[in-house]
Amino acid sequence: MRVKILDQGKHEVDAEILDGRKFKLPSIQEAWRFNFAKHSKAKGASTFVLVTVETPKIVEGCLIYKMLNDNEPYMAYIEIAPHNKGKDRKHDMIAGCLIAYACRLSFILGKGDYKGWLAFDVQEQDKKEAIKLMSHYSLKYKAKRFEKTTVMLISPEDGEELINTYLK
Amino acid sequence: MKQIKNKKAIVKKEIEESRIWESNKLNALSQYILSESQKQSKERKLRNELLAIQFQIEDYIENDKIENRMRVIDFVKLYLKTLKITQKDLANIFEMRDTNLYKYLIGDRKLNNDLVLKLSYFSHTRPEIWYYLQTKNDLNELSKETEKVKKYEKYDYQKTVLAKSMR
Repeated sequence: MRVKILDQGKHEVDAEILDGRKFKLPSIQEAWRFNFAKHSKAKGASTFVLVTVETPKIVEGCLIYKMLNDNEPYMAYIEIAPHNKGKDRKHDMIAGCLIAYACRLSFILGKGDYKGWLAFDVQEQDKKEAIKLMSHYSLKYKAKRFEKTTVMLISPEDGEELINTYLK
Repeated sequence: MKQIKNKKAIVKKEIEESRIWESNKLNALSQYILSESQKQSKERKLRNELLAIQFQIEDYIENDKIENRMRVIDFVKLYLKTLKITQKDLANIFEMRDTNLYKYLIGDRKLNNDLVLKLSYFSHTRPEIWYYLQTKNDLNELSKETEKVKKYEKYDYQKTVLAKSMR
């Protein structure tokens, strides 16, 4: 799927979200937090990568999506490339595009009452970091915390809004 | 030794999977989503279903390969099922004869602006996606024809027009 991300000068950059099977997936050895190469092999995992049209071999962000109990959409892993983190990041809007893409999958693949709902877990060892990240997801992507856990949920209404913002 | 230490430090970064996939937490989450979903209005639930169909059409158009050929009628049937109406009901809504509508939907007749706009307003989709869908299938058929290219070689202008003028 074609998307637009931003470069350092806030100019639009053409990018694509593609099936990750054709890519060498990122791993911890390449300074990523999650071992996508390993987790993508798990049963039921679908992996997607975001690349720019100009540099189609450089993974800018990665997403692993699963269906729990065959009907509940779940974003198992999401991460942006190390070079897209921090003040000197190369590109922006990558996480937004990948989360919106996961929301879109939730409409297509979610069944019954689960259609359009997207759940994910904030996976941080450090509690303070987890809370910081949860508030970021809450403010930027309208995710709501499930009780006192580290699980967050994006509703169909908010998912639709993210799709309209990031995938149009 | 140093390398091992570093490796351990790196591995620590990833959270234990057992914490993520803890079954009690996931069961409680399932129940929570069900209860939240039940609070949604009928209109919202219908919107969720309709968006799913729209995204499937968009993906079908965008995908390079067609695994299962889907005609206009196949997607329209998804809308009919979701909205719990028949094709005849749709023909009435569109002020058309059922048989006439059917010919357009199965591709015996080419879509026109009138029907495309009716489909667009009916399904809350962009009108062009219905044309793209038709064209996608036409191009797929064309790619099959080009495999039988020999049959069409005789139409080459060099063999038809130029060869004649050279005589």
